[in-house]
Amino acid sequence: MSGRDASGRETLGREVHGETQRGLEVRGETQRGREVHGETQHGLEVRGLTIAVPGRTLVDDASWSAPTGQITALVGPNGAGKSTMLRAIAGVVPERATVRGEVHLSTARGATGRLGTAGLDTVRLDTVPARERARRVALVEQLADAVPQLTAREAVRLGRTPHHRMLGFSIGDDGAVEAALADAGATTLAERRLGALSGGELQRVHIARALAQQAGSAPGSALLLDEPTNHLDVAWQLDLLELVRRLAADRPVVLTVHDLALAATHADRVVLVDGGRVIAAGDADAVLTSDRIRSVYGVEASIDAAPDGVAIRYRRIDA
Amino acid sequence: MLVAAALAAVCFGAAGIAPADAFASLAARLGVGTTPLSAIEDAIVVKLRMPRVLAACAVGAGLAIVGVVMQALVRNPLADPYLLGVSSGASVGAVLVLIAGLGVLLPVAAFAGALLALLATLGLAGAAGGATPTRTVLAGVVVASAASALVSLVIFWGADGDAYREILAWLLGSLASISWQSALIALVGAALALPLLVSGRLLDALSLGDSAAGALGVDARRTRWVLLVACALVTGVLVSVSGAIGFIGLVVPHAVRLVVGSSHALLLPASGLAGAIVLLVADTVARAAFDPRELPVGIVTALIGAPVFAALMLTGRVRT
Repeated sequence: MSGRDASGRETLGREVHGETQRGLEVRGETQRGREVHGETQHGLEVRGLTIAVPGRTLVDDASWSAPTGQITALVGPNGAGKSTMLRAIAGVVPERATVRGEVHLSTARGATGRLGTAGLDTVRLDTVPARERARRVALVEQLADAVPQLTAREAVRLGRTPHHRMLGFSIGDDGAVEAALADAGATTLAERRLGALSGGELQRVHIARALAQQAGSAPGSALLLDEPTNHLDVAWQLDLLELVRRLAADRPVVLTVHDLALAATHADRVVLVDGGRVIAAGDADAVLTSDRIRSVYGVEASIDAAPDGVAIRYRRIDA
Repeated sequence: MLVAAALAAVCFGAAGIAPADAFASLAARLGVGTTPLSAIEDAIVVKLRMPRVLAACAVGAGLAIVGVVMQALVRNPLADPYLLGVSSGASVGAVLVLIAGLGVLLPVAAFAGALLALLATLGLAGAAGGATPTRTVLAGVVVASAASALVSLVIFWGADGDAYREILAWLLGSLASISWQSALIALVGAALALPLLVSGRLLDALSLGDSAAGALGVDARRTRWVLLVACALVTGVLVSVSGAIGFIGLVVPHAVRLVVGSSHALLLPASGLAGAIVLLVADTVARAAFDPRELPVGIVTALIGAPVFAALMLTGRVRT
């Protein structure tokens, strides 16, 4: 599935039934439309991303990728730079920050949205205009601050913003909004006000907004979710992960998460971040080892991989 | 409804005039038919009441639209058009010329004062690190209180008798001295507010927060800066004509939001219309209710607006 290529770099994509995968890839070197076993790879790719505010480097030369068709989880301690990275990919950077590095998004040429299409369209997200970028990357933020009296449909319609001309109209809005509501399983919530929704319902509406933001854009647009399972009970967590899995079928999905067992169970790839640096990236079971967890989090972890998921128990390192 | 209120406003007053006659008189001015009114009544309709009606509509609409935009820009339900200290700055200019007995210069002086206050507020917010909602509000509070202190100082020092009454009327907001010239200025102010009507999508996006707006491709900082300046200019023009009429820009947006919802594409024009109607009615009441004395319309809007706002708060309808 994944491993190391001849040059010792990690091979991020994987072949599925001989077809190409599309996704988002972030790496430390300049190479676009990377060939994997003679085929092109689709997805999101971050190369040498560095974000600094005066006196502090938040993200330090981070390179990783998120192939289309997979769920990629960013994990790491609080303040590791996970959210900062996600937001920067979506074009949101802290005040007075300097940003270096590249973010590439490769999608199937011809916008057919099918896996295995020959050819690759690569866009450098860090150089395209903000509206264009917003059509290709959608971000659902942690604790997304909702205006309580908006209805869900109105909130989803906000996702159409980057498609609008000055007068605030664009053809196909209604269709895009309804399709997004349906895809996120939020159609029955459409008339409810955000203030009256539960955390899980609200998260669905925010995801629907992200989908509406991309409808009509090139397929394979990236979906970034910051702590999507936060504050959700277990039933809603599973529900959300099921939705995310479905959405990942034809787009790169990147999410940040604190629960390592959840990442190991539900993500295809894990990017472990600490102090703004990428410590390891690759298959979940390869990245999340007890050694790494000890060095990054400073706790002992015993990992039990079962067919139905991964369980991790933690304890303090004895003095 | 606006048209009906306007016609009623033209007719109400010390000199009662039948609606049909007023209409005919206006039509005659446009070259259709002849006026059934005497020369004096005709002059009252055309020279006194028409400009006042137009000014009330323009000022009311402009203030309400700016109020909506300001509330969205700083994400604060208590924001109103005067948040940036614009009206306080205008007051300084106005009071100075009124004391000096140069009443003709009032609109110019008021507008100049408004501009200075705007520059001070944005300069302060910018120097502190950028026009975030909180910084903008704080800078506005600082500038407004400094300007109010100046106004009090000038009044305490120099005002007497007529000048004092004149100043008070202006500070409270009044449409009593509206001429066709000042009505035209008000219309220009309202016209300047029209481009704000299409900012609905941007305001919707900003209401999600700056970073969510950024992820939607909207540059929150730049957008806020541009819209704040536009709002301040509109307010400055309107205030130079009418004085600082309170509560229209604060209460009307909240009341309209209850009816049409929070989506700005609809909220903006609806608030503009409602603001025009409310100020027109308030001004007619101010003019006619205590005949022959006339109240500054600012007293009427505050008398009505305060309890309305209190009621909205008590029912929990104001976004906090």
